[in-house]
Amino acid sequence: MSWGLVEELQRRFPEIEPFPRPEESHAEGHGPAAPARGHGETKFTHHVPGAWVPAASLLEVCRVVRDEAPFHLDYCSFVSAVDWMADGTFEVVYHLYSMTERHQMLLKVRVPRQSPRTPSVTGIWGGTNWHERETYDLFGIVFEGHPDLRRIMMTEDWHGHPLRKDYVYEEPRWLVDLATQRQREIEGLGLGERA
Amino acid sequence: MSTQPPQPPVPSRLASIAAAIDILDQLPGGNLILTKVEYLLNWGRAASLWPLTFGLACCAIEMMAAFAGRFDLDRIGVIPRATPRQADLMIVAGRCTIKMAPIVRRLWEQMPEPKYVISMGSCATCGGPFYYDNYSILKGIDQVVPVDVYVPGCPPRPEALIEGILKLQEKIKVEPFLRRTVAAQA
Amino acid sequence: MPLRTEQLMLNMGPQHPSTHGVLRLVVTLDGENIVEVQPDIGYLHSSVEKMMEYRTYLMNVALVDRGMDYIAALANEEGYLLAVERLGGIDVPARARWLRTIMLEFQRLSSHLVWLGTWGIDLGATTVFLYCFREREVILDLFEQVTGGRLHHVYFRPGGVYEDLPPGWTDRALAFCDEFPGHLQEYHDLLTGNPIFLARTQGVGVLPKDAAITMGACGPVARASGINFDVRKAFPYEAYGEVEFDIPTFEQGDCFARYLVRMEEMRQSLRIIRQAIEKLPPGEIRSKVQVTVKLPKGEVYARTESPRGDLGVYLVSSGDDMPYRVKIRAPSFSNLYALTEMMRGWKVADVIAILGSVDIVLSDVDR
Repeated sequence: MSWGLVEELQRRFPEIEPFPRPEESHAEGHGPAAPARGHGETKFTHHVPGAWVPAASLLEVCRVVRDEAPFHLDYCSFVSAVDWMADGTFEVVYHLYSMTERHQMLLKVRVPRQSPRTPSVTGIWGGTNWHERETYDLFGIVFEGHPDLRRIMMTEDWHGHPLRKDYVYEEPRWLVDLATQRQREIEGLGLGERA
Repeated sequence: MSTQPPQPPVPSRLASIAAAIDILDQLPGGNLILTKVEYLLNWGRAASLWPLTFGLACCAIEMMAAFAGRFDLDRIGVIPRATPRQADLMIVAGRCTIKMAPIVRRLWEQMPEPKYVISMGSCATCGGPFYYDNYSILKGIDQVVPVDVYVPGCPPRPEALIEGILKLQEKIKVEPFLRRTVAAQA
Repeated sequence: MPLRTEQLMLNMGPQHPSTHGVLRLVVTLDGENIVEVQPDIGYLHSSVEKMMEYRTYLMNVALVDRGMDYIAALANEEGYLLAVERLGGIDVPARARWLRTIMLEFQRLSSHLVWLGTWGIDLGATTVFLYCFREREVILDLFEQVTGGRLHHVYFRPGGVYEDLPPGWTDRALAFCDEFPGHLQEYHDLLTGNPIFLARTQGVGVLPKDAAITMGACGPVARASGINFDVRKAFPYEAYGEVEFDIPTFEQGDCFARYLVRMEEMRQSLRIIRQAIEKLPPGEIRSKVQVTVKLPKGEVYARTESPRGDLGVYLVSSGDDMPYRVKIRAPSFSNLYALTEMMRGWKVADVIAILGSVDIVLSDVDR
């Protein structure tokens, strides 16, 4: 796979933190310490090579991995996020692929749950426009510099961000009213459905 | 359906056509003309249901299959129309989201009376597999529009949809159509 | 008095006879020319990703059938289970891998037939619809004999498939493979030489290669724009590494090229099915996997080639018997975004032709 690519990236950007390799991750105390997740003792296995990138240097890293050899990661498959509620962070995930070199890499940005903000990469991969909108809609992560950051899946007046782990579903007011009115119509006329 | 007046028993399809032709002959001399005109009208409406092609999700594919060559809904007078103004039946095929619900309601309001709704599939009927842990699917289309026939299945086979349409035809044939507006105002 | 012109906003959908599902297009027009197309999606957002976090790995198989691309349900199962099996290190017996390959290719055929039929209706050729659904019913019968379902199969399970083939099934499948090229010729006769069809598709809705990469287009849309990328070749899964097939690629990037790519893909699918039935090994069809299987902690990204393109499933497990997070990278979602690029500058009458050629499924877009 392309773990060598991540090492190359770390040589250029010392501030990034590569994922522990799958075979290393069983050995204790090797590689950068990943934060404890869940309650088990086993370590988290990363099957796709990649690295955590600080939000401040994300744009620069992205520009380098798109344009420069040996990366040429010209295709962004998706942008999404993972809600690590116990740690108080969101991980914004970018999956990148190279149509010419045929290798892939994950980039992750940790953002705090209280004020989730990260720079938008729409200027680098145009296709991430909707992916970032979706992440904003479902997680509430604000992508700074996005040209059109609106809700995409839910309606504009929706409360909350549904894919957060602490989201509580709330029926929209108009729907409750409409359903109640329909119920009253049926009961009041005593005519059944075809009143 | 508790308040409907007693109606002639519903015969089978071939027998109903024969009965209707029979009524046509009897019309000039008959003295039960109201009921019989009603029956004739109901027969006409039941035999030419024009549904609104309104596919929401997976069930729409089975609905398309029902319109295609093998199952051929045309043979029972069901011809899809693309606009609600020309339709008298809405087949809600598939799950309906809360975002889509006002549009379903508006389309139903745009259809001219008399109009009928078939809820096709579990999702349109009650939420189906999307009932639990879900934040965006409407738990049953009957929260928004009145439903005449529920077709179960996930998705229902085309045969099931045809059965639903036949059931709706039976329902239409025994409907107090001309007196219905009076009953509603009472 | 000078003639005053202004831009017109035209709303198409969500209920529109020619949109493939509940899609709303806000088209900005200057006269008859399209200035901008802004798709408005989310009318079928069924919160699959949230629901999957509350269901076990086995239950989710039934959910991905319905919640994602419903025209190609088996392709969803494959994408999801590939992620589960990679993360859990679950072994799949050889016979199950070949069975999956056969089923996936039949699924591709049936999905492309739905696309061709509905696109035919969009372009005013209703006959194609009836022809395509005639052949599709034969495929659905073949499916039904194996899986018991027409649309939603729940046939693939963690570690294999649910049931073996019924007796005589391979003969019926091969008989279909023998007669299908003749039907494919019928579609070609109906469309490929049809001057009206050519006028409406050739050179219309061009997506250049570099734009296709930037916009994230995938699958047949990308291959029609000259990107020679197919997950079946680049990251072979199941038995795709052991069968011979070609990746049709065209340079034009217009509607007609997208049509030709899919027509050729159908021929290649037949090739794969024939080889797979020939090489189908005997043996187990399912390895022993617990019903409430617990996966080790970790994350994985599995890519498959669904009929619509590069279907990816990003699965995060926290060591529980339910996924911690599933992100479905839907091919239609990216292709629909590329639509904004394809439509720019064309006439309003071309909207439907271009939209149909992309082959989107709104359930796949919204999930």
